[in-house]
Amino acid sequence: MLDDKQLIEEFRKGSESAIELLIKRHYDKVFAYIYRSTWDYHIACDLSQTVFERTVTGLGGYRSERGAFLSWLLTIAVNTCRNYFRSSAFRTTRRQVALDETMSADFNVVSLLERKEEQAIIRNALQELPALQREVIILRIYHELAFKEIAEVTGSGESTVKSRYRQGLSKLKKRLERSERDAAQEEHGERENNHFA
Amino acid sequence: MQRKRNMEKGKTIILHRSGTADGGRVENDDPEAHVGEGLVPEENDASFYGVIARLQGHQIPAPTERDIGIAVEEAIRAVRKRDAAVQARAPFWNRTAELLRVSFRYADWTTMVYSLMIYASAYYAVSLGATTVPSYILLFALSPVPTLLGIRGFIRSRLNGLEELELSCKISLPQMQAVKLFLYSVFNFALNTGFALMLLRTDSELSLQRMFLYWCVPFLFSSAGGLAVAVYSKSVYSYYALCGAWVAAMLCIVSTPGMAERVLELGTRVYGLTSAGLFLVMIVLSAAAFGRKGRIRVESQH
Repeated sequence: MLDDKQLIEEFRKGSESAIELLIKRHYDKVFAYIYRSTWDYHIACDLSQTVFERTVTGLGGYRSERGAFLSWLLTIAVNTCRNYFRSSAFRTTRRQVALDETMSADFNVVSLLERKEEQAIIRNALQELPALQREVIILRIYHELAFKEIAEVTGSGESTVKSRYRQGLSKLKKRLERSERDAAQEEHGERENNHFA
Repeated sequence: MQRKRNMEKGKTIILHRSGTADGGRVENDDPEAHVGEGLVPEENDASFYGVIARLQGHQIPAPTERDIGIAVEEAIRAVRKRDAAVQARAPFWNRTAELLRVSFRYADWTTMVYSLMIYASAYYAVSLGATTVPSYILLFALSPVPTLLGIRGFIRSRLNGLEELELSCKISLPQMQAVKLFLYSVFNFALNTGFALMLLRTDSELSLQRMFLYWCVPFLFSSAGGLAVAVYSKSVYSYYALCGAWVAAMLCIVSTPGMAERVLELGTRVYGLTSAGLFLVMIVLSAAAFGRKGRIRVESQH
């Protein structure tokens, strides 16, 4: 099986199937990053498409000595997301996304509801994070990049990235704890209401 | 995910930075393990383990095959579009490269050596104090010389049968003259800058900025005039008229008492605006010359 470097060479020689293989190999990762940044399936698809268009048209400028292809791809994804958040499209049409599509079929109704709730809590907690901290958290936790790589991808210093990561985790921890407290209080209130009724 | 499972079991985990490309981590179940330099302190905080585990449990929808297919199609379309644009630009760059190659081949290098000798002599005279002409005026007077000498070279070569060259390649005579003039201008620019810097070494009271302005006007004048003569007039007498006008103007400035001072006191704005105007004229003339195909066009024999 050809690795990324060989596929890029093939692409430079004019092979269109090399583009297809490269995209199919990395689409999930790019999509996952963008989805976790935008929380909209359709926007994530559109932006992933933009990322791959930019990638393949700029592939001539890619040098493997500078880093892994995936890191380069994620750099483009990070910049594309940043551009999107700055765009008027994002400011005018912030969409709320249903979580139904995130569910898998192997849960019973109760666990499905619990899981749905947990997903919503995490999504909201991540959404509330400042963009720069969210970038680092996503790249570290979901893409398992080293801090050095994250620094390269986001164009920041390694110590800045570490600091953002720690601050982000602290905020997430507080928000998740607060959500749990709120949920517990809500449940307690409902029980009391039922008891008095 | 071993790390996640360990976290869920409540084990003490010390995360190490392995230094591998993928940021691989070594997990250690020993609670007494020494926290050394290679650790990732940002993660080595037990209070975060639960958060990280919960985050890792978060699922997102997978993209459909159809969406991936669309991305592939669009990417391939973008590449084809880019390639088409590159191919459309290729003839221009190929032609420019060919022009430069031919111009270098037929450039009159001896003329450049003459120019270099004239500047060296002038510098030698200034450094020995053998000239009474102010340095600014000297620079002003000498600045168009390399271009004027260069034009003489290629008018002569045209007369000596440069048109034959036009018969053997795709490049038209006006186009080649324009490119050759560009080469002479670059050489002239470099020479003037070098001479100004050398003069600055001999007299620290001189201002580099003023020197630049003083040599820019005659330099651009000679380039624009030379281009017009070489491309449009095609007469060697026009060239002599241009050179004669310059020599006469310089003699007038040097020999008339107070004239040099008046020329130098015109002000930077006048020089700047004149330079800008001449530069625009030159751009227009160059563009017009580039657009001219020449009288005789025969496909390349090379």
